[in-house]
Amino acid sequence: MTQRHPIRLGVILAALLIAIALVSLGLGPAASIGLGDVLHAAAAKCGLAETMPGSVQVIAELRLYRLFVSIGVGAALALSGALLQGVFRNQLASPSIIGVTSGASLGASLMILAISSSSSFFLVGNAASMGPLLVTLAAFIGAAVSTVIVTAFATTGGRISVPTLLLVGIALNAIVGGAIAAIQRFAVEEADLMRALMTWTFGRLDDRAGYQVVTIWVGLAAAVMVIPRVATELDLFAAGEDDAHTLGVDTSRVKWLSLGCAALCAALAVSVAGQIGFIGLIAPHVLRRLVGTSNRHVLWLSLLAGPVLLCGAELGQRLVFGHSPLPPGVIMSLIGGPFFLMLLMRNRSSVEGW
Amino acid sequence: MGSRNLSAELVFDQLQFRYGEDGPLVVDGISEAVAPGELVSIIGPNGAGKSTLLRLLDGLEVPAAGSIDIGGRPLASFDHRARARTLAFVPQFLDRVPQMHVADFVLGGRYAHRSSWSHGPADRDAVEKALRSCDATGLGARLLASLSGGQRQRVLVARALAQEAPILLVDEPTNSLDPGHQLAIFELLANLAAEGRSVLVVTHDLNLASQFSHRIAVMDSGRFVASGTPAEVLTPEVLTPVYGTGLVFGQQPDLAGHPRPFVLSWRSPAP
Repeated sequence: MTQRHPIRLGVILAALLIAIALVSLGLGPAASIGLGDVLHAAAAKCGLAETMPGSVQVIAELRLYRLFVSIGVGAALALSGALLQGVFRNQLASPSIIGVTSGASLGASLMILAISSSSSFFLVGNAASMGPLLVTLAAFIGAAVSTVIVTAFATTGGRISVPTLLLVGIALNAIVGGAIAAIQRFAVEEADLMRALMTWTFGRLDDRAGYQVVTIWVGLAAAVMVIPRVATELDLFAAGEDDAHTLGVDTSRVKWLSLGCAALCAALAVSVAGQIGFIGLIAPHVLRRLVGTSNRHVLWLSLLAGPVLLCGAELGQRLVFGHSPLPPGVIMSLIGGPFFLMLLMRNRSSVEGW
Repeated sequence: MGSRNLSAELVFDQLQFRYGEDGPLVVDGISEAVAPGELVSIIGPNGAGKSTLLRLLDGLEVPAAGSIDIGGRPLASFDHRARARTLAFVPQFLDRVPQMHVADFVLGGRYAHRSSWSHGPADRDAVEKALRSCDATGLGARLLASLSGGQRQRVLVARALAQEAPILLVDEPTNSLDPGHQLAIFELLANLAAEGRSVLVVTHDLNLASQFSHRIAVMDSGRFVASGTPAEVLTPEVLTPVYGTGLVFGQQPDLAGHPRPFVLSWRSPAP
């Protein structure tokens, strides 16, 4: 629990991320296109070099989008989890618990269903149609609506009750899970529609578009500005909310900022890449083991640890399975599920204290 | 920091509070003033509303009616940090004992003074000074969870001192402490009052209240049924209706040689 060199860990994580990024930029189904081509295409995109010949430029740009979406999504999910764990003072909290993730999925699923029933040419990967943009928007609205519902139910007299919040989150998750299953039941006959829905359910990081990169990074930039306004304050929550109030913390403001920011991050991540679980759980937890429990370190470092985890898992499975990889949501569940169980075993006493 | 005005009066007037819209009044029209240099104790049976009163004074609850002024200004007009610089609260215990070192915990008392999110040497100095005042200098590197009851109580007081607030609210500081530590805590609180702070203590210990308080208020069912010097309040006429029979009253000189009342919980055979 002692604080060990947060800056050194930050440098290590950054170096690791750069290494992973460079390797994964050079990898893809088109084996002839290497890292050099991708970097050249990136320079061309910035107007610093000649555009690469047609398909090479396109493929290189797709790899860049994949990387930057992955980094943004990893950072957003890890920050979201770290904030929730800070507010709830519970290391088992994560974005999916308050229902944000599933709300986003429901929004996306409903929009996919709506588009597919109104037009026959819809494909989720078809950048020419308005489909993906609408689906992203719907995912964000779904996340926002579920956040509002959950916090409204859990708020009395301007105060958020954390136990109520958790219970409402469970109820909302159950309702949304049922609704998504119902939508998928209707869709099971249509292969394209089913594939589109699955994309949202299990996450997707390749075939991303430029606007998705912009969405996640702009949102992340806004979220990062919240960190210095809540980090010290969340540390003072350690002995309970009343205690933090006594010390001069505006506890409801800190809670609203943190929960709002956590919801925003999770919503953005789901809206650009679908449901990817466990990053928000694992990344902050590992950081706490390495640098101690202070939110002033964990929140900032989660911006690096999340991308390292997500991009590292992506790269790892690409190296193992080749270029028809499993969806990132599946990979993270396979890694994260056992990790979560291990956490439960270790923290059994605190879990029983829920 | 040295030039900070360390005196401010705590005044509350006709204070009322109820939980919920139409619950019974838990605090029912009470008034009191604690001047700089004074130590005032509030005694009374369990459920009298003493802890609720402290929550009101700390801004954790909002009164249904009445006023609270600290340093001549309404409590509600302070922002959170300014309130914490004027009024510090020593809780009876923590809702949860955080996994942290004593020095870091006491540093939490500096939050209201910090201009940025890092802390400077002035904050470290204040922490050191606060720990020294509470005879807890050697505890800084210890984990909070490893402390004994008496040590933990001193650390809680130290954190409140690190807030450098002129008004100190203290909730049952001697619970679960042995007699030696009980005396030590009250001596510490009396010294803090003598330095010019306004100290309000809620306690069940009538004898410590008698020795160290300038005034004692007796709270029962949300009201002050008596208020005055220990000699005026610690009498059979005041306390028997509140606590029932089973009290023995006497007198004992204090440090200055003045007689002070004492009260024993002692069942005697009926005369």
